[in-house]
Amino acid sequence: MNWFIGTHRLTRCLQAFTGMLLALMAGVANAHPHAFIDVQSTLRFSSAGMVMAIEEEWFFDELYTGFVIEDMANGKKVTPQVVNGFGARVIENLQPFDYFTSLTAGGKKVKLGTVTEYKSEMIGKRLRLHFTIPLPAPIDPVAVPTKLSVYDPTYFIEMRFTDTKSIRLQDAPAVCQAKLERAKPSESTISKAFAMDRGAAADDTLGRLFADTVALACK
Amino acid sequence: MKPVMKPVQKPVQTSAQQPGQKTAQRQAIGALLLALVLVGGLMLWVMSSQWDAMTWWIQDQQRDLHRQLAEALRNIRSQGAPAAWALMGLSFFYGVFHAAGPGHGKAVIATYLGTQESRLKRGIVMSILASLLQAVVAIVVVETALGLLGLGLRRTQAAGQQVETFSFAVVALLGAVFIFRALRRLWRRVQTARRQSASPVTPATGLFSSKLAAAAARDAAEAGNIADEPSDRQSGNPDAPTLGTRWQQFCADCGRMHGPSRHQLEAPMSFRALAGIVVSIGIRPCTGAILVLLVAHTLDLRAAGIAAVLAMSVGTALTTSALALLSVLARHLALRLLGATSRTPETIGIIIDVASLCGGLFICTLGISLLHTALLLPAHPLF
Repeated sequence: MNWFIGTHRLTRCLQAFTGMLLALMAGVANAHPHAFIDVQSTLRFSSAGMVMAIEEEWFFDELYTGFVIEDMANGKKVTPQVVNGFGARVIENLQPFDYFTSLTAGGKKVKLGTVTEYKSEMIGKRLRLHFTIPLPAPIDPVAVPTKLSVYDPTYFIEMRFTDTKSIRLQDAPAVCQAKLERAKPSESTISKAFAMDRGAAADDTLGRLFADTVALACK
Repeated sequence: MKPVMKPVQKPVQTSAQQPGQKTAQRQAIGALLLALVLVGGLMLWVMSSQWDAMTWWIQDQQRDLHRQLAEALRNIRSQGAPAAWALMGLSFFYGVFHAAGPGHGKAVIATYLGTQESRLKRGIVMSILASLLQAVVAIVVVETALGLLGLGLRRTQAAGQQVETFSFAVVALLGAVFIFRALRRLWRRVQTARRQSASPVTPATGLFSSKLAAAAARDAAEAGNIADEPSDRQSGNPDAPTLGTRWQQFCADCGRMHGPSRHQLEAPMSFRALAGIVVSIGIRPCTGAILVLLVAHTLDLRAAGIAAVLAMSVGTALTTSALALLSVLARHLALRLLGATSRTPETIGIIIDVASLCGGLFICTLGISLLHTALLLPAHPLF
């Protein structure tokens, strides 16, 4: 094993090796996020061309679904009623968090109403939660640029629009178009999330940095 | 890494090693090692220039892993067997890249190889076995908890975490064993030195005699190391000064190459130590592996999950073997640099033992801190 020694390059090897050891120090067991939800949103327009409600469909990942079902069923058979019971609980829990939904008009946060219509059911092996958030004061996307984001502020759950088809406009004026802007988290943000463990204290500023944005343009 | 090629053909400098009849075999081994060095060099080049970008990329991949795995498994459900290849490929690459990211198993292997072990083959075997054991442990934990005991998903995941916590304790224990071994070797050195200073062969000062003293010290150290092996527990080595005397008859720097000998490079490693390393790393089920198995279970695709975990471990083995290579290279480079200085082999021996001690301390501290974190971790309010 003597033969490979003596090249200048190997000095760099040592440096890289040291750097690596340092990096290895940060043993990471469970990084955020821990579950994911595929989101579909529909912006409902009034006949006057105002956004009056947001309709959302959330598809929970199979594993999270498995956990939830296990808890709800508690060893018994999973009936549609039981599944819908989950919806009722989640909607109630999410109300103080604005249903993880953020709508802004001209940069200002739009006040969201309380969800009264919701449904949860099993689609294959995934839980689907379907609900509609009414807007107490409808907004005019022609007058002010409107943006929608759906995210878990703590980034415990990653919520993402699968593609542009995940965003729909219902009864929108022909000039209106929705554009999906993917989040571009910085490298340090990603590293931060990566270093966060399951039991990490909730940091409710992290999720926003990973959130996709739907920009509504009506010209 | 071209310059590497030339010295391969040179006769090995250690005169005490095999005769030239094994040249062909040695060339074959040399070629193999060269190939490994080229791969390692490429990885190093990437790592040294792109370390941050790479870490970031790995983390980004990791972030998306759950989603990708679920997607791949879903495709198997809807499209059947052909889609299984996509899952295998994804798992394999996850294994490769995840292993390149942070993780205490890699820290243990790198530290161990960097500070305790010089034989490349053994390092690679160790890395491969540890990776495979990780897969087996993940499969056994999930299959036992979910399949046999019917504990349910949540408690199975908790069981995986408990095994993980246990593995941290094993890591701490392993570090403690290394510390003990290094201290014992250092203590023997002190004893040998004492005995030597009492003997008539006490090294005199002067150009040649210092080298002689070095040779004597080297022999003493070797004898001490041999005595270290479990088979020969008789401590003490009264032969050491005698060997030195015998050399004196010829010339001051007769005999050995300058620099540490094989025995000094290697703290003699028993099968038990090898097993200790493999178990301490392998017993921890990889988070990604548990995830695949659980997701596969929710989709009623347990066999696909198991196959994916095995593919993952093959990928992990590939990366950890490369890491083993780098660690052994780094160790040899360090030893060669040390050997090139005017230090006596005895000093070098002490430096090596102190390095072993530091390695042990690092591994032990790592184990304790991981254990500490794992035990203090509260349950997440949302899960």
